[in-house]
Amino acid sequence: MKILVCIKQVPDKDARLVLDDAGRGIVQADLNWEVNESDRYAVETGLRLKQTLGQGEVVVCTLGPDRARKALNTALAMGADRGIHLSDPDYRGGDPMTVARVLAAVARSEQAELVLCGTRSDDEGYGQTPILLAGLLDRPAVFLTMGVEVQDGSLKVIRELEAGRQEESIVPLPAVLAIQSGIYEVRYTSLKGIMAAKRKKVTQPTPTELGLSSDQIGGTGQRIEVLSMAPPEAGGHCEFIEADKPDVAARELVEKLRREAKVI
Amino acid sequence: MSKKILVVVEHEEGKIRRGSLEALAAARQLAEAWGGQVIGAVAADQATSLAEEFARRGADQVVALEHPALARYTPDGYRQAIAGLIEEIAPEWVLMAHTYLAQDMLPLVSAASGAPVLSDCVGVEIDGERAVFLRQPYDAKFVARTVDNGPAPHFATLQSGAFPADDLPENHGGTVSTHAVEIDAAALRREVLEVREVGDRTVDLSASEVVVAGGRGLGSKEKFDELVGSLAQALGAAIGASRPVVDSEWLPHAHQIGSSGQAITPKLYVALGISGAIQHVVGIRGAQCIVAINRDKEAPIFNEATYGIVGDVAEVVPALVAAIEEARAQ
Ligand SMILES: Cc1cc2nc3c(=O)[nH]c(=O)nc-3n(C[C@H](O)[C@H](O)[C@H](O)COP(=O)(O)OP(=O)(O)OC[C@H]3O[C@@H](n4cnc5c(N)ncnc54)[C@H](O)[C@@H]3O)c2cc1C
Repeated sequence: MKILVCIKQVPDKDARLVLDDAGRGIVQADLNWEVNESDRYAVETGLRLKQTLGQGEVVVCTLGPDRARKALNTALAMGADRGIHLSDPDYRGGDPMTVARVLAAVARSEQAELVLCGTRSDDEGYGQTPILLAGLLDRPAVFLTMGVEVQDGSLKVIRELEAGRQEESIVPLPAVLAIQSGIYEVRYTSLKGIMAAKRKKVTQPTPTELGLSSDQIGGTGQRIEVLSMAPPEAGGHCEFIEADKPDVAARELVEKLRREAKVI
Repeated sequence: MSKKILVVVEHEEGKIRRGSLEALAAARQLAEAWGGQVIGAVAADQATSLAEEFARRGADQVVALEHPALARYTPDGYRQAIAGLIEEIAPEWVLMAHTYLAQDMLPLVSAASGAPVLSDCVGVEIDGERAVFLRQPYDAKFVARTVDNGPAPHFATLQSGAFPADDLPENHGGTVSTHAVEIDAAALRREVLEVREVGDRTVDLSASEVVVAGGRGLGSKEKFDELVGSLAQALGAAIGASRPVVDSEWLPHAHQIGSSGQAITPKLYVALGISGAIQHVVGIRGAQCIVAINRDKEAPIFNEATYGIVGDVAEVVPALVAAIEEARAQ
């Protein structure tokens, strides 16, 4: 089975994010980047499926500038077989729909039977690229996948529901799954894996090679526009207890909980 | 022509979900600004009585989309029913609550017209003919004013609690029509085998007066047990956790608080090393008093908190335990 895993590189979780001068995005220089959390689970899922099946190919794909090559390297070091780096400037910018168009073209040209994505990127967080992609490919999809097995040429999929429930279903292949974070442990990259990754093939198909016209993709094709971005207004009424020493702050808090809030 | 705002209604066990009423409240806001019309859509095997209820609560017109295959949710069933209605009525906007169902299904519908979804919105501004939706990118560290510049229909989903449904009318008097929709049964590709509860229900946090919960910021199971445990003991509290704690198996799922765990309503809730992601916060909105301890002053949990201490849990928690014991001794 050929499995295509789509991943995104995002600023690392603890990064200090600063608004850019235009106030419509963040300053990207000087950030540390990592593979988006749920996408790491998508890679892990692909590798596990291949292992269980004892055959197949895991192709990992990312859309992003030169720095995103590092995200591919991580996935290759985990064990993915081959990489696709969508780095052409025409792919840049865009919104979930333009990204889904590009990924759909890749899935078609690769004839991937299964496409795996994370559920949501921790940057813009639109959380819909996998399902848009499924819509474009006219394939069944499952959002928030908690588990998957191949069974008689179909997939048995567990989907997370609200309030601690799950749905189990059978979905025919070819299909698209959005994988939820935390469903099992993601393997680390070993030194051996990192060395092996260096020899793995990474291609950089252009829009023309994928049969995409530039007005459908990237900044030209996008519909969503961020007019402005700002830190949230301090909406809450949090009373910060400020004291140099923890024990002073602690005493003050206990006092307030007893006398003001009357909850202890 | 007056603008139509379509709300796709979600229902469970014969009841309209609260989020859909919030979507109705948002839709009324748009419709009133534009002199437009709110249209509801209820998909089910028998949808009429839910449609009538939605019409009472503020929709001007509600379409009951009926077919035996819609007795339970499948993405392809809903997609077909809703795509057909969109084609028929040509709405300006299609709104839904930002639920698991909406995320599983709505992009399938929107992709057909080349539209992305403005997802998980927390507010809206009317700017002439267009709606500017507010989103919270980068884990709610920012608010982004966002528009869809493409042609109608536009799509948006709304975060739980962002558009209060408290002021909806009780007797709006909207009309109801029932459509027998055509569903291509061969195109229902997801065959649902079972819906089940996961994990044990051995811990019921809903009745606890005081809950102390820890998050990923505790760093390890050992630190979690030590710090959360000692504070919980000092306060006589039950122990809760954020999802990553459960995923890392520091605690069983029965302790998880949030959209995929429990919703709690204690007098006092203490969050240690928890960032305050929306999926966690929806589970604690019923708490009377919230205390947050986090080393990051910008953490969204402080927007929910009554009292906050910015600091390292490893320093603040032992001090807090000591202060509680000191106060008890007096
Ligand atoms: C569909 C879906 C459903 C979900 N359901 C739930 C749910 O039911 N419940 C839930 O909780 N989450 C849920 N999540 C996950 C949610 O989005 C967040 O990822 C999660 O709540 C984050 O947990 P956290 O706050 O413990 O970790 P993080 O977000 O990593 O936050 C850790 C915090 O600890 C602070 N910190 C670190 N070290 C220290 C220290 N030494 N002292 C003090 N503070 C420190 C950091 O500043 C940070 O704010 C769900 C997500 C999805 C996509």
